[in-house]
Amino acid sequence: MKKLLLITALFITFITNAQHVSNLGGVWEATDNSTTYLTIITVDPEHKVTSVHNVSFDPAKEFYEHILGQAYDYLISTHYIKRNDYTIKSKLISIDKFTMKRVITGSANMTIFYKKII
Amino acid sequence: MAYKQSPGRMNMPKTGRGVDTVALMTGTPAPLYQKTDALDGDEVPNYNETKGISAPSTATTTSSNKTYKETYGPAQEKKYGSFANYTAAADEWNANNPKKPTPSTTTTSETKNIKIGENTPNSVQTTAVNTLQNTKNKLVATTEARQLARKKDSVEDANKLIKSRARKNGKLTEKDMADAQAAGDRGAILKGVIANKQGNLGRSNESIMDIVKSISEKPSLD
Repeated sequence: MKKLLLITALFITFITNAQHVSNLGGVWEATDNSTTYLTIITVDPEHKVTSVHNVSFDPAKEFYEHILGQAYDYLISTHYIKRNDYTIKSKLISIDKFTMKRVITGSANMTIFYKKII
Repeated sequence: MAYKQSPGRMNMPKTGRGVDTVALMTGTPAPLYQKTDALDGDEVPNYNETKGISAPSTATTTSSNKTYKETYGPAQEKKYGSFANYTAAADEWNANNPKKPTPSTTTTSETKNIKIGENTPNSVQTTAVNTLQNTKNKLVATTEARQLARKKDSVEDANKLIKSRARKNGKLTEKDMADAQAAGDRGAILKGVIANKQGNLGRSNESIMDIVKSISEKPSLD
């Protein structure tokens, strides 16, 4: 019985850690060509996301997202593109170490899947 | 509910109905900008453009792939009498009716990377890697700086506490030292001081300032 509980605890730990927000750290590329931006997310040693940076083909288009809050497995951020009067609120969800989902609302409403490239 | 069509009642819809025939005939190319970027609302260029090239073939083949023998049969025998006659007639016909070279359509596709501004997809990735590395370095440096500042602050706070308690009470008790230790979160040095001065700091020959000085001179407390 003890062994079963131990194995269950280990399994739950493994599953929950697979979705931890710290897995968001890295360079992410959209899998469906819905955006040309690469998203760079940095995580500090305390496993908190510190910045969400987007780079594109045009250096002038780079922008940072303002982090509104973060929970165990997701992060909420927002950004505004003045030239298009484009406001987006994003929920970045860690699926696993190599997959991220971004649910955007505001000027556009859609879901973008990312794969980690670095 | 299944739709049952009466035979002859109406024609089946023609494919392509509603498509502008002029557009079909002129072969209007697909627009370069196809959709908007989800993150900034800009129009997204088709970075991986597949280009189709149609070129007429230079081949001037006029003969069929089949030989005369393969096409010669009872009907030809009946008409021409013999295979030799058929061959001669065929040669003559081919000489008088040269087959026009069929412009066979050769379609090749090539993928080219469009350069936007000064960047290409590879350079964007390089920029991303560099940015990530720089940010990480900055983060590590900031964390180290914070830790150093925390250590410095903790030493200063502990020293202030020791000074204030000493001035107020005239001596340091174990509690004073424990508080100082808690405030600074420091172990070894204060424990050493406690061991040396335990319960008797107020009557020690060593002045409080000497103790404070000895602590301040050893900022590495971890």
